[in-house]
Order: sequence, then structure tokens, then C-alpha cells
Amino acid sequence: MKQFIVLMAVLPLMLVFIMQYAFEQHNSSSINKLQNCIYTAKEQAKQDGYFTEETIGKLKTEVARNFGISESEVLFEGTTVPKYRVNQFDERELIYYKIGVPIEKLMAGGKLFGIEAEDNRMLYIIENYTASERLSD
Amino acid sequence: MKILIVFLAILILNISFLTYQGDLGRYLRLQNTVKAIAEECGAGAALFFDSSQFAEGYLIARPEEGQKHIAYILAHSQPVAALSEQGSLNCQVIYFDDSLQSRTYLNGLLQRVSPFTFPFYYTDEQNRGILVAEPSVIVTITLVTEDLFRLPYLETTEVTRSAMYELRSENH
Repeated sequence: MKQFIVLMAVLPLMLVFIMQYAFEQHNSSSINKLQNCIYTAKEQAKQDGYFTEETIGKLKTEVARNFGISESEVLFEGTTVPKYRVNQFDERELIYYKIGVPIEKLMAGGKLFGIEAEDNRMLYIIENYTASERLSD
Repeated sequence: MKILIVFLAILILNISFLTYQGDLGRYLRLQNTVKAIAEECGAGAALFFDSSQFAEGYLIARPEEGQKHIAYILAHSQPVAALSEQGSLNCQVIYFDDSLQSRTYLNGLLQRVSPFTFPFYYTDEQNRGILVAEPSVIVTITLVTEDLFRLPYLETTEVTRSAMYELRSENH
């Protein structure tokens, strides 16, 4: 009986570890997919010279599907006016992008350890510039 | 007492594994990020070439413009810019073009000019090789930072990734 009580006390603690492995795997896999989605959208933006409505829409749809969130939760900031390929470096002709997604439940058993839901989430952001390959008309 | 010892052993094992898993994920993500930045640097630098020579059918790179692009990308790339503040960031860029003089830049400074002919088998300091058959830009980024693994028996302080951007030339 004593051992059973000890088991009951220890079991939730051990389960937290198992859940944490799963969260880590899931979050890591989602972030990898996010990187792939951004890579595809960025390559399209290089060709178009900017992030078109269609590219942004596809990116948001893909990211939302991979993370199991709504498209409105996907943060996107970026160049939406055409930039052109130039033969001299000009930072004004670079395409900017910043994509962020909320990651919920960073740590398993948050309530058990007294971690507030607000503190147990983060916004994962990928931000960079890329050169436009669009030639001027 | 025996149960306590077994419990502590399992606890330490779990914590170690969890720490390793988290650090490994971060390390792999950092590798992907550095690779993406190297690709961006290479692709951007390859866009700048001498237009008058191009009209003659030769692709001659303009490294002075390419280096400005690379410096800008490196300065604005998170988390590499943040991590490099704790350690150091080396960026080696090699231009192979129709001048048949490869030019090697390290952190924006010209280090070496060497003659070559296409096709050329390029090998880096770690003996990793690649065939250069067209005008190309090879970018190698080395990030040295604090130990990326928190476990005492693992030590990785360096992330190195390379990217090569190749331009098609009618001469080859």
C-alpha cells in the first residue's frame, strides 16, 4: 500500500517528462515546417520582387495548417511593393520579411508547476532580407 | 532507500535526456538558419556582375558590391547576429568567374587571388570538395559561440555551413 501511494505521487511527475518529449518533438517539427514554408515563399518573392497577396495567402495557409492555428494568428510583415534587381548594392531594393507564429504549451505540466498560460507560450519569429531578382520593366 | 535511489536515477536520466533533446533541437535549428543565411549571401552576391563584360559574353563578378550585400544580411540576421556578439562570426566568400582568377574574401577583406580554369575541383580546409563548372559564389559561414549543449560531457561551440550559388554562362 505504501508503495502504491508513492507511485501515485511520483507518476504525475514522470508523466510530465513523457509529455515534454512529445511537446519538444512537435514544436521542433513544426518549426522545421515553418522554415520550409518561409523558404518557398521567399523564393517566390525573389522572382516576383515582393510578397504578393497570393504568396502571403499560401504562406499563411500552410503555416496555419502545420501549427493547427487560424490564419489570422500568423504574423506577417514584409515588402508588398515591387523591388528590383540592381547592379549596385542598394538596401532599399531588398525584400524584407518577418513571419511569426505563436507556440503554445512550451512546457508540459504548466499548471502543476504553477506556470501561467501567458508565460508558457512564445511567438517564434523568423526575420530577414532577401535580394530581388525581378528586372525592371 | 532503494526506491529513492532508483527514483533519483530515473529523474536524472529524464532531465539529462530532456536537456539534450532541447539543445539538439536548438542546434539543428541554428544549423538550418546559418545554412539559409549562407544561401542568401551567395544568391545575393552572385547578382552583381560587370554588365559591360556580360555584353561580351563573360560573367565577371563584382565582389565589392557582393560584399556589401553579405555584410548587410549578416548584420540583420537573427539569431546569428545575436549569437555572434557572444563569440565570433567568420564569413568566407570565394568568387569563381570568367576572369579565371578566384578571389577569396574573409570578413569582407580580400585574402587571396588564385588562377583556375573551368571545371575546377574546389576543396575547403576540411577537405570537403565540389566541382565548380560554372561561374559561382561559395559562401562559408562559421559561427563560434558559447557551448551549445548544457550537458557537461558534450561540447559544441562551432556551427559551419556552406552554400554555393552557380550562374549559367554560355562559355562553358
